[in-house]
Amino acid sequence: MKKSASFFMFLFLLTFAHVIFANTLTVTDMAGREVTIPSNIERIVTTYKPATQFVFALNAQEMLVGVDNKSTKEKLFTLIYTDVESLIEVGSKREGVNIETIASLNPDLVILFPHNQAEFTAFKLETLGISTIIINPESLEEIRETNRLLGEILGLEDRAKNVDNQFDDILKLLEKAKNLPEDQKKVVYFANSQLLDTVGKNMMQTDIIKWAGGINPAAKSDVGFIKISPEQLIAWNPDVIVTSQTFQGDIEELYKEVKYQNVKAFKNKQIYRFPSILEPWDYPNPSSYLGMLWLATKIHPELFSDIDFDKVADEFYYTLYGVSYSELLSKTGN
Amino acid sequence: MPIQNKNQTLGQHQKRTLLYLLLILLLVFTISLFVGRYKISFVEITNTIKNLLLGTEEQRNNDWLVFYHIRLPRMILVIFVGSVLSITGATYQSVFRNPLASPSILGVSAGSAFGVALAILISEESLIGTYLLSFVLGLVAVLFTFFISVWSKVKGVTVLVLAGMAVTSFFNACVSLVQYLADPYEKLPNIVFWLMGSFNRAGWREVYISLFTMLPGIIILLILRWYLNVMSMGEEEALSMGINVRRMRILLIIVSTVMVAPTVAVAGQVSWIGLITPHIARYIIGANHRYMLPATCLLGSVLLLIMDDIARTITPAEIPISIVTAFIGAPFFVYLLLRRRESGWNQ
Repeated sequence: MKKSASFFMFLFLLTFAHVIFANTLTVTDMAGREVTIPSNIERIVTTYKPATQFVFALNAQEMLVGVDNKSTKEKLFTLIYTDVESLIEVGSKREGVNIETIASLNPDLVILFPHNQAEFTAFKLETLGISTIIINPESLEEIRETNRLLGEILGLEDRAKNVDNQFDDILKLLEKAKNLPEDQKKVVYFANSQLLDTVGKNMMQTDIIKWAGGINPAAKSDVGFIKISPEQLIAWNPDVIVTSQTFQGDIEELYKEVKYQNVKAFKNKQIYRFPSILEPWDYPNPSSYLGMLWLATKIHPELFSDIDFDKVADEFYYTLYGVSYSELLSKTGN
Repeated sequence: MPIQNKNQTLGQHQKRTLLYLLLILLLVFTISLFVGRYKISFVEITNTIKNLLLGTEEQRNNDWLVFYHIRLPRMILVIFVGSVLSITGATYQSVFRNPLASPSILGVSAGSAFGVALAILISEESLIGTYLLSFVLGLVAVLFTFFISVWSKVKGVTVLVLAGMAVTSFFNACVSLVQYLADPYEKLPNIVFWLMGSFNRAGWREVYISLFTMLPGIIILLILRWYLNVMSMGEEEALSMGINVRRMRILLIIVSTVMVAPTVAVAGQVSWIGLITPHIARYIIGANHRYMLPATCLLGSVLLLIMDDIARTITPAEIPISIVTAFIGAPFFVYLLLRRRESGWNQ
């Protein structure tokens, strides 16, 4: 009964939507739902930071009328588009979104985060007549898919294509690292906010390491975020350690740890922090492609000696955000 | 005369049990030093120690680094924390005459946990700050408990336990608030992991902290263990023996509390050990605190060493120690309840 009721509700909404908007578009979102969306979107609400990043990458930031609580403070956004600071905050991935706030903004489209409550929230928004899509950019492939989907929905296919070409260019550059024989790959340990916090199998960071020509030792057995013991780190003996942008420690201090002095990454001073201060390149967002190339140049400098990374980064940012990376950096005073 | 003879042999039997426990502790400690994700060679270590003593060792190999900078301090810390939680558990159980009393009963664990969570939330990575906040807030929580019970119209020990419950629940809410405010990617996992307890961070610095905060407490409680026998008999009996129960009770509680706060600071909340170890000790050595208290100390160390070996060895990832202690502790406790109806409490 309930199912058929919601089905009729859906049909009703479908018809209803057709009456109001002469032109609509039906797409399948990343939760597998068929969604009908007005083809002329002017007011967007995003509910988590990566969603906002994708909107910015499509240069559609001026359509935003509401964003998640974090996006109003993200450096990258405020530098490109100062108005982001005064947008209405609608909630966050963890605290959930305030549906009434979203409704009061009268958006044409709400971009939801992948969350166990997401489909329920989407249904509630849709009963209010607000089109909603769920995106899920949790892997490198899904990042491209998200970009293409949003490009289609917002009618910005050409922009999306340009962004996708940037992804392609970087993957092409990385092929020589990814296709290295196993014995030439480096063991790369990824540290989150603490040295002993790492990520295992099926995590995007593991993919990033793989494409950069490395092997994540933690990927052998465990899934998700894991905490290891100091002796496990010594046993893995990584060639390179790369920390998240949010690592809460000082790398110079880390080198002084006596117990790690025989670990290759410590001995050869191969500990790096993921860029950048504008936005983290190690999170599921469009710039993680740039993060991959950055990591590859750190762990296999000999393979990438012919590449001017700063130039690639400038072009990447210019294509995505309309401003070069070095210019944005100089605005932060760095 | 026969009665005295019997007492003597009884004491000898218990002394022998204590000796066995000590030997078991030494054995488990030694084995634990060579158990772990990194395989340490026994020969390598003995060679290095020999060379160090002869002054010829120059290059420090990995086996030695793991052994000396990771395993040894960690095992020592586990012994400290295991002893403290067990001995304070036994003390609280006697002072409150309540078999369910444990080190967390007066709110100290919750207060300390709030301190740790707060420190992780507001500071970058200051260990000293974490320890201080944890210690101070643990004491603040206990002071709350005391003042509530002092100001209440009800007399007796029960009101202290009830006040402890209220304070615990208040500080648990504070911890939840901090978790809610914490960044889910950076800070929250650390807070959660720390709250579930782990010896993951153990180093020599933590051992030194324990030397100054936990060891004196253990010694004081062991010296005062005579009084615990009297306390557990009841207030009137104790008074009739000329002991100022109020003063002694406060002294014992203060000493115990001051010991528990640093355990939360260095290892987080380690559950169950403080509750079950005294019961096991009572089961194997009897209820006389003269033997029971040292037995609890040794047994707590042995049990926690074994549980920590499991927590850090079975997967590449570390398992929070409270998960292991609860998984093993709770069923074992039930087994004891079913197996032996008369515990020390019925005697």
